[in-house]
Amino acid sequence: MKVLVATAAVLVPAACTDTHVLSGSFRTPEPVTIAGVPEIKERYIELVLGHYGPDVAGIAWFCTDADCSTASGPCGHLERGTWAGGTLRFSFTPPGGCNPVPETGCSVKARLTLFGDDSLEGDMFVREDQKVPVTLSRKKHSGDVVRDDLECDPEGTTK
Amino acid sequence: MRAFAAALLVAVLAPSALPAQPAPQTAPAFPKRRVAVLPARDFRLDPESLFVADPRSGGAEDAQNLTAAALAALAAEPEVEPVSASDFARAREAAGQKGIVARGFLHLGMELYRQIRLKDAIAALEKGVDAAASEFLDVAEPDLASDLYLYLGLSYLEQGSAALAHVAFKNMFFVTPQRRLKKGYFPAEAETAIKAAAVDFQKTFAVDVPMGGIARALAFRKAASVVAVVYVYLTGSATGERVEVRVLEPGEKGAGFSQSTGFAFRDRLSAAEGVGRAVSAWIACAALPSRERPRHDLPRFLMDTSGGYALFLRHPTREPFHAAGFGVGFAWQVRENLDTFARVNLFTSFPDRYDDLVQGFTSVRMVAGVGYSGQWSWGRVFLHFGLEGHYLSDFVSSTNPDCKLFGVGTEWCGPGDVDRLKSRFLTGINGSAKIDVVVGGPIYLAFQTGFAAYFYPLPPDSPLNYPFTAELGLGYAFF
Repeated sequence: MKVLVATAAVLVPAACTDTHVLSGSFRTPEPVTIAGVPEIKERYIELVLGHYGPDVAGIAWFCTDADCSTASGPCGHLERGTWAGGTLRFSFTPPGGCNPVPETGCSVKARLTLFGDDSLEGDMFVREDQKVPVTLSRKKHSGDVVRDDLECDPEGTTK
Repeated sequence: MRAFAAALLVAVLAPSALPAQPAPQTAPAFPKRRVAVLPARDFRLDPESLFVADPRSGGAEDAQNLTAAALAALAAEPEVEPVSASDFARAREAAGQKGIVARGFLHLGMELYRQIRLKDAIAALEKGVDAAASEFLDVAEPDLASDLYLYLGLSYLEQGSAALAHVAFKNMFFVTPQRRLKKGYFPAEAETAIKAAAVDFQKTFAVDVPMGGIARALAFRKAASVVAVVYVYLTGSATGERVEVRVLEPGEKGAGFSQSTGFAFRDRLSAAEGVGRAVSAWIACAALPSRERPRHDLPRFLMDTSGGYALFLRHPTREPFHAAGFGVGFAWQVRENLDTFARVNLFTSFPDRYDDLVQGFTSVRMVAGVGYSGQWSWGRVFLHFGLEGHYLSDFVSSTNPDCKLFGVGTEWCGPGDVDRLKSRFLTGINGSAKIDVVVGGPIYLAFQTGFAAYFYPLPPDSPLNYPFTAELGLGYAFF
């Protein structure tokens, strides 16, 4: 009985928050370079996410400063964002394209695992053999995201 | 010719010149209440004059006069149908109850008594007494009941059971207090015992209770199909003679005397007037049909306000969403078990689990129809059926996460990514069950649950359908 109660105490809150746990923003503490993408070279990557159960939408920002406060970086719209088994998967077309362009097309893929409530760890890559390990920590929760955080035009330049 | 013209003029003008005859007014017909009058009893016993040469001569005129006065006072009231002892006897005879059993036991008992077969005589007479009591022969045929007690007493006395004989003789005096016996017909020992019983009867017998007990009088009331029983009797004592009038009828706190009055007996005329006044005084306050308030026990107009919950069982979102709000309902009780009702609700939606409901919406729901109801002292139960109209503010749902994050109409969320209702107005049929539990006075706690099915717009253009609702609130029964 105690086990049942303890399990329920753990699972019930998890079940309630699991559908929106990623909503907010996450940023790398260090600059990241993704091989094959000229625009993402020594950039701080910030993800602004909207989490809706199995679906995730958002914007990826590539900033030159650690606060991502200046409109200095390009951005990309997340595509096919999914959340399953504690792992976030998405892809985006990098601003400025790839060099060289791989045969599978120019798309940055990400596979990130949530640790605790505030840390995403995993890797990003254009090609499987060029994975770049990344760690992102939470900067904003769902209610703190503002309109400007999502103002990325299709060319991927606005913030 | 002039005379003819004058006659013609009179014939034409006379009807219009005469005052119009008032149209006959018919009083509303109320059902009559039957009231029984027991034969009045004259308990002014003189033990020394019990035995006379001619026992059939007089003695009962005063009592008969009082009985007639009570019957006359009741007959004066149009809504009362007096029932005399003879009426009761006739009704019994019509129903096949003629006291044959009691009479048979009486004759058998008398014969056995004469044969000095006292044990058998007592057994027969006791059965006769029982039969007489069950058929209320002390009212319908008091002489027969009196003979049963007389011969029962004589049998007991002959057997040596003086105490039982004493009781039987006292019962005889209660049924026929003015009975006289032929002097010298009975043995001297019997005369002495009967006299002693008469003396004791005067001192100890509770003559104020009709028919020997309230329970028995109520049984008679039921058997005679009357609402009340009038009991008049005369008493005599050293302080004077009195006339007592009692009216027995069931009340809110059980059966009892609703009228209990008495006055000194001076003469027959004044006694009759006094009885008439007493009975009239009771009639003045009696529950007659015309005085009863029109039956309006059940409230006719009900109103309640409530907090409500709604859930659509068919929804375009992947997970159900909830809505909450409040409502106000009105019901008019057309008949005892039939009412018409109308209800208005205002609901606001809550986000679903995956936020597929992109925009929360507010809706106004209106239901009207008829209901079937049962009402009890604790509250009411309704089954309502009606038509429902449901107006929703813009309803937008989507499973595209971009529509949720960036908003509808942005470059990431096109028109094809969202679902909207074809019509903001949904129409269908509604069924609901409602329970009202009285809290105090006209205030009641109202719980209602209902279900609707929308048929406009027709499927498949109705992705939002089958709302289930539950409401809890307080109501007031106005009148």
